[in-house]
Amino acid sequence: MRTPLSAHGISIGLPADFEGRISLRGRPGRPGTVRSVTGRGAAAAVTEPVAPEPLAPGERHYPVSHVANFPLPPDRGDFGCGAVDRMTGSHCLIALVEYGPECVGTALFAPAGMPTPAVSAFGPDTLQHRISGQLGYQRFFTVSGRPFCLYVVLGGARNAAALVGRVRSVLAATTVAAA
Amino acid sequence: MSVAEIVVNTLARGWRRTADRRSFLASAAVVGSALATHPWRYASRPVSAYDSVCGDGAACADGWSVFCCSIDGANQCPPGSFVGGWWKADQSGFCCGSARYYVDCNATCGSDWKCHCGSGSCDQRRVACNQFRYGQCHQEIDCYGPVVCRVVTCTPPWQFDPSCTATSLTDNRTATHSAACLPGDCPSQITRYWYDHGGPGGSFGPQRAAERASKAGGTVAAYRDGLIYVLRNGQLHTLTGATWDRYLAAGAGAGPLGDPSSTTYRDGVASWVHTTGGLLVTSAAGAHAVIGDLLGAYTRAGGTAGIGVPVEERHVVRGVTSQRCSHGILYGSAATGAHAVAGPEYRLYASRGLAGGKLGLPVSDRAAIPGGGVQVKFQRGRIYTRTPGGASAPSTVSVEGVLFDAWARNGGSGGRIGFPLATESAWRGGSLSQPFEHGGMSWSATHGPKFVTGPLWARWQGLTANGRNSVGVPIGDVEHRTAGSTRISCERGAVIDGGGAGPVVVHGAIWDAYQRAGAERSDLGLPVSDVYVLSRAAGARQRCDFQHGRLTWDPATGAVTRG
Repeated sequence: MRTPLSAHGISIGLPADFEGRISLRGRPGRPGTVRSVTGRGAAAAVTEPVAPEPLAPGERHYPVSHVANFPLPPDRGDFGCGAVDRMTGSHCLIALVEYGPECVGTALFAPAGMPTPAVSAFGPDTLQHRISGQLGYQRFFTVSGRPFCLYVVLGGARNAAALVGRVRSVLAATTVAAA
Repeated sequence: MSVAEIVVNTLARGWRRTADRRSFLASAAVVGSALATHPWRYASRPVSAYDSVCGDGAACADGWSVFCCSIDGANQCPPGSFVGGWWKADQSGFCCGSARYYVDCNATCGSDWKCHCGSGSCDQRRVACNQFRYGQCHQEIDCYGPVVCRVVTCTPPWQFDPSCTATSLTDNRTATHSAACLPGDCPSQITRYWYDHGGPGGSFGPQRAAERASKAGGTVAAYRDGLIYVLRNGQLHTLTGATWDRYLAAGAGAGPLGDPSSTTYRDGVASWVHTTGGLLVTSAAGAHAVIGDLLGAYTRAGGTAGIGVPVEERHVVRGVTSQRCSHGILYGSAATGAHAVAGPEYRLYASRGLAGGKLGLPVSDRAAIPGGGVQVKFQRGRIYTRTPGGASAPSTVSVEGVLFDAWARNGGSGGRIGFPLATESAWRGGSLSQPFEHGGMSWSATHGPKFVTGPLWARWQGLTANGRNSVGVPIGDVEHRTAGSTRISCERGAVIDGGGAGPVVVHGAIWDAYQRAGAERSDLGLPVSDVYVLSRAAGARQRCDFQHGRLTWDPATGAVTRG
């Protein structure tokens, strides 16, 4: 049983014990707003909290999706800072971060298609900041003509195989519409 | 490491020995706001200098990446790393309430960075450990190592690093992260710029003098390798390289140049910046200051586009200031004021010995003259550039010294001989001659200045080449010895007109004999030919024909005979 979470051309099938956010900070025309689509075993909801400051000249925001099997705190960094500190060994966090269209075609974003992480690809240093016991995974890629970074954090190595399986199932249920 | 850092880190190490993790966290809220203040204030307090300076997560075990300045003093990516991406923390006190940007420096593939903890500072975060990338910068690089360190700035990265895109990512949890080697709360525009260029370990190096008010308005701060200044209009500019070296050698703001008062202007050959006391010009000839009395003259002469770039510093010798430029020279004195001599006038002036020659110092700028052309006035002369009647191109000539004195007394260019057509010629023995529009002048030590006009001058001038002729320079004014005749007497002869053959030249032994015979009043009458040779043989006899006879000189005997 999955709950669909969909916004900004990104659709994620959430397992029953997962929750997710698809957020867009500072939308053009409404500086200072964060637009989120939230889902947790129920219909998705839209919230528009006010962000603290206007955009700098030229600054662009793109959708950031967070999916986790634990409650996501409201104040999270785009790569999960603030959420990862709350993880236990049975938790996992998926961050799907979109970049500007100018990134398409660059070497960094050259890999095509949604990655399928293997357990062996996770490491204790592949983290935005190292937290003892956690494992991380990061890949840049392009799907449907849109550039993304997939960042996954596992709460502990003991359950890594099972957690990676769950992550892969979420990613398999994730689609990105063409730009 | 600055004195502040040494004190802070010393206190910090002491604090760490006595404070456990619980007390560290308990004080975090307090020192979180303390972060927004100058490190000195917290260095002197027993609570948490360490935390207040370096912020949350400063221990290696906290898992964050170190700040680059904690590695080598420079707030910039160290060798073997590249700018891999960035994020921001909103409403940062470090940036006066605006966003603070954190730029990751990822290790270059193949570099030899090894994971370790920072040391020697309160920022003991991880060095080259976290295999992570934000990804907005240098996207042409797909092979990368761990984050070596972080750079911070209040300037959006895409605005100063063209490799970065403006895709914005946020992590407000890092808002309090800092280091002793980073600026404190709400740094000035100058300090921000300094740190955007590496801070003490960067391209400007350590600070030499504290930021202060500029004499030009705005503020200014001096660093080891440059000056950063903000003008009254809020625009920030810098002096670096040779310009900075010259400015420093001239005493910087305390010297005669004072403080910079403009941006740096550039053309194809030079750059220049105005200061409260002058101008600083940098070119292939080096950086040189134009100051004091010479500044106005330089500006009036068109600056770099006119007199060119200064090629030396200003000299002062016995009250006379001077400075050579690529296309001219500047002179100044209390008696003459300061003036420039440039272009063709300068080239002639230089060939005439500059101020050490007869012309002396300039007493005017280049100025237009009625009828076309320009002049520069000197203490004892003039230089003109003009196109004389009948000429197709302008020429530059001078009139100077004793000839100038006499010419000026007789009306100068408005007098009977008009403008000079060429610069004076010097004769053996020290005599001088010079052609003018309507005649000419000569000067000898014995006879002084003489004016010659009309056909006699034209004939005399026709004789003359390279300051030499058969008769020497005129030593008298035009004489009328008999009705219908005119003469100019020269050092070794004369030019005489009236005999019917036009002006002719009599010189040497024949001239001496003619004078002994009574010259124009003799029975020979007026000469009707120049002195000429009777054959092409060496030592040939010479002869001059007169209205009523002729005189012949035999060089072999020295005798002059009639017939």
